[in-house]
Amino acid sequence: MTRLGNGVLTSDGGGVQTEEGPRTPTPRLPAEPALWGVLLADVLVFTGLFAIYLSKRANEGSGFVESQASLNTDLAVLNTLVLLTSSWFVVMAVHRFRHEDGRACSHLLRMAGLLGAAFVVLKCTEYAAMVNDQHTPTTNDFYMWYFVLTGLHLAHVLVGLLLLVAMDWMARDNAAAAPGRVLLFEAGASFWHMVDLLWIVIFPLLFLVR
Amino acid sequence: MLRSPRAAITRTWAVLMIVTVGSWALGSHQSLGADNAMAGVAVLVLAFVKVRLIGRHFMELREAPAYARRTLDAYCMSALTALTVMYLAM
Repeated sequence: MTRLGNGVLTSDGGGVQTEEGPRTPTPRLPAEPALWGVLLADVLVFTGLFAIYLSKRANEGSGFVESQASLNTDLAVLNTLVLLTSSWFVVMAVHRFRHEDGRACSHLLRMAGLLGAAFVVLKCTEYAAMVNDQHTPTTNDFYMWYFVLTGLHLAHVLVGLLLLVAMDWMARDNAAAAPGRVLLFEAGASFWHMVDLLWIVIFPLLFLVR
Repeated sequence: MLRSPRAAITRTWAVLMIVTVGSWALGSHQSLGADNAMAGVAVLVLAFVKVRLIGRHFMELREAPAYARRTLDAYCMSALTALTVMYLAM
């Protein structure tokens, strides 16, 4: 993290401001490096599950495709747009936090959280409709995988929402000035983006790829 | 033309939204046969293009050291290749 002469933390990935010329970009990994190991491990576990799902799909064939046709793709694409927009609000919140603008940061985080909660509500609505149609994890392998993959992802969304609440507390305390707080804030943001990233792959695998 | 970093993030978000709707249209209108498989592969490629955009722009790996950028690229390429091969094996 680079602190400029006027005390403002650089918001755009770091950089060095010199008196002679413009800022030159300095490579910088957000948050603590160890966090990236955890995020990568989580993503790799999900990728392994995606591979197992596709191998089951290859074995089952038409049974999977027929079950897939019963899913509500419109609701899923809406959820994707909701999560992407939520991530945009989090990126903007990180910028505001680095500039020690706690009030604006808090507003942005609340919008992100609201959209995250909307994702949960839409997903629960989808689950309720499926159970109502007798499509449960015990119906067949496709529905079992559908509930496992989306359920694990939903658990990540809920953890992410808790992190957004903690980040909001930090923003309202104007905690950016405290040592290490920016790294902590960036860790929460990176987790939320990972949740978004996972859904970006789950969505086509379960809903679109026939 | 949007030039500031925050405007660039907004532009990335707009691209992600457009690609999402495009993938949806592509996936929702698949026919049977070889075209279906091509559409499926295209949907997977678009998904990993989005993953890379999120990693580089939202997670700020674009400005990270080279090893982190290369790890993201290696993950996208290897995961896309593996999943595409498994999808086509059906």
